[in-house]
This record gives sequence, C-alpha cells and structure tokens, in this order.
Amino acid sequence: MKKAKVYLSGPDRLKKNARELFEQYAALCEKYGFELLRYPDELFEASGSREDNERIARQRLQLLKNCDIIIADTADFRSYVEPYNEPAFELGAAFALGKKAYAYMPDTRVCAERYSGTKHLNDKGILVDENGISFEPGPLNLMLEYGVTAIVQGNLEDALKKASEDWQGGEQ
Amino acid sequence: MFIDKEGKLRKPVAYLADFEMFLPSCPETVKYWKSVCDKYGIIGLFPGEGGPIEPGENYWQRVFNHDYDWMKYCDFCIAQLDDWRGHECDSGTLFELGYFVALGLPSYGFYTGKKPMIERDIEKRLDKGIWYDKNGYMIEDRDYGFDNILALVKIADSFEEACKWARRDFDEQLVKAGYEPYKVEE
Repeated sequence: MKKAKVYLSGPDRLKKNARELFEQYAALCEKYGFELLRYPDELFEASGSREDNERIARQRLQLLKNCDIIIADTADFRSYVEPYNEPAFELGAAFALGKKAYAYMPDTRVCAERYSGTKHLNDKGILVDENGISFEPGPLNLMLEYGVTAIVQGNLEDALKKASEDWQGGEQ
Repeated sequence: MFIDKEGKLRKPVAYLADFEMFLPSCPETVKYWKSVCDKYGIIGLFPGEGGPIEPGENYWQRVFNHDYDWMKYCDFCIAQLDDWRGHECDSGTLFELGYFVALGLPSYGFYTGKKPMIERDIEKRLDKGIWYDKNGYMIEDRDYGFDNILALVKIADSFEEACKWARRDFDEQLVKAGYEPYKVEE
C-alpha cells in the first residue's frame, strides 16, 4: 500500500537542532506508516534573501498540496493563547485543499482557562482579558477548531498515532 | 472593477479577515475599512455581516459555517496581521488567509507595527550571530520580517495601502484585457 504523505507544521524548524529533530520526526512518521515530506533544507537557516524566502515559501505550499495529511503543532507560542503563525496559516491552506488535518497541543483546555493574564467578567457577563477582549470558546480559534479533522492533546507522536488509526480505519 | 473567473466585469469582493470583532472599536473600524474599499472600487465584506447567528444547538459550528460561506463567496482576501495577545497574528485570521492563498486567490495583509520580528519588543538573545527568543526558537530574518510562509502574501503597512496594491493588481489585469483602469477618486 502506498504510504500516506505527511506535512509537518510548527515552530520546531526554528530550533537550534531542527535538522536532527526532523530526522527523528521522519523516523516517527515511518513508525506510523507515513512518509514525511521534507522541507527545503534552506528553511533551517536563520537568514537569506527575500527572493529565496519567496521561493522556499512556494516550495512549501507545493509540499502542502502534495501531502495527504497535515499535522500541526498548535501549542501557545510567543503569546498567551495563540499558536505559531505558520500552523494557523497552513491549516487554513490545508482546509482549502481538502486535506486531513490534525492539530496537537500539550494543553487542550479552553483558551480562557489557559490564559495566564488577568481575567474578569465585563458588564455583559462575558469573561474578558485585561484589555476587555473576550475568549474563543474552545482550545483554539474557532476557525482552527472547526477547520481541522481533530485536535489531539499531547505531542507529535500522539497526533501521528491518531492520524494513523484514522487512516487505517478508512477515514481517508 | 476586475474580471472574475467567468470573465464578467464587476467589483471584486474582499474578505476582510480580522480580529476586530473582539474589540469595542469594531463598528468604527469596519466602517472605515468599507469606505476605503469603496474608494478603490472594492466591496469590503466583514465576516460578521449577515448575522447575528441565532443562539442554540451547534452554535459555534454554525458561526464557522457562516464565515466559511463568506470565504467561498469572496474573490480575494485582505488580512489584519497585527500582533494579537503577544507576538503572533490572530490565528483565525491566518487560517482564513491561508485558505485564499492555497486556492490561488489574490491575498494581501497589513501590519501597522515594526515589521521585522527582530526589532519588536521581544525577549531575545544572540548566539553565534543568530537571534533566539527566550524559549530557544530562532528569530528568522530573510529580509522580510515575517515567518517564511507569509512570503506568499503581500503585506502592506496599512489597510489603505493593501487596498491600493489590490487595485493596482486588478488594474493591471484590466489593462491587459483592453479595459480602462479604475478611476480612484481622491
């Protein structure tokens, strides 16, 4: 049987040991019967020209088009209750392309519960943050929550496991 | 005006992907955005239009469906990419923007702050010439200021500039097809 192709989305490409990590992720994909679609190697570099940047982004979009499943790390990133920009964008792209999409995060409590800043009820009885801004109802923004196949509590391996069960169960 | 996929000449409809609905300033901002769109011959569509959605069973799913229906209806996207609760954009806005990009539809963003992440108010440290945030994630710098994948989007400094760019691109298409460009009234 042809292996399903997986596209990984998330901030781990920004880690110092990203190349090694993605080798491990490729092996993990293999373990669950998937083939990891590899980023262009230049993506692991810190800098480059604007032209190269655009070319790499176009190559990634093509990878996304070629994949069967996207698995996205949507843990809070550089903010209180928002994931890294790229998985949010790529999950939207995957939704448009009709791909199976899994978001994973270590803590799937709803945004208001995860929010570590100050919260209070406003004059309409709605829970808001210190700037008067209300919270999304679920663990992620509504568009992500309803635009993915599943949100998995845990890590990449947990998400791969769930995707593999679904894939083998014929949900593809 | 622009030429749609059926070859018809009409005003393009922009999906205004944004986080304004969470803010008290929403009505004034949306009114302003719509007036700017109008100036450039664009119909600006705020996702909240056509509401409110009746409370009840599957409310949030119906809210999602409502926005998705508008996304399918629109010809292109203009997205508000300012920081949201930290140093990332609003994830719902990005999801919608990614949708338009994947379908090959024109996509613009606007960011009114300091563009390069490296220049923003973020705790960072330098290690062998590379900047990392406090959690050890590299702050990439490819002469662009945003994460790599956002290179697929044209990001302006203001909402009006994004409309201007969209108008310029639509005008190019019009002229190529032998039509007059749209006359923007200052």
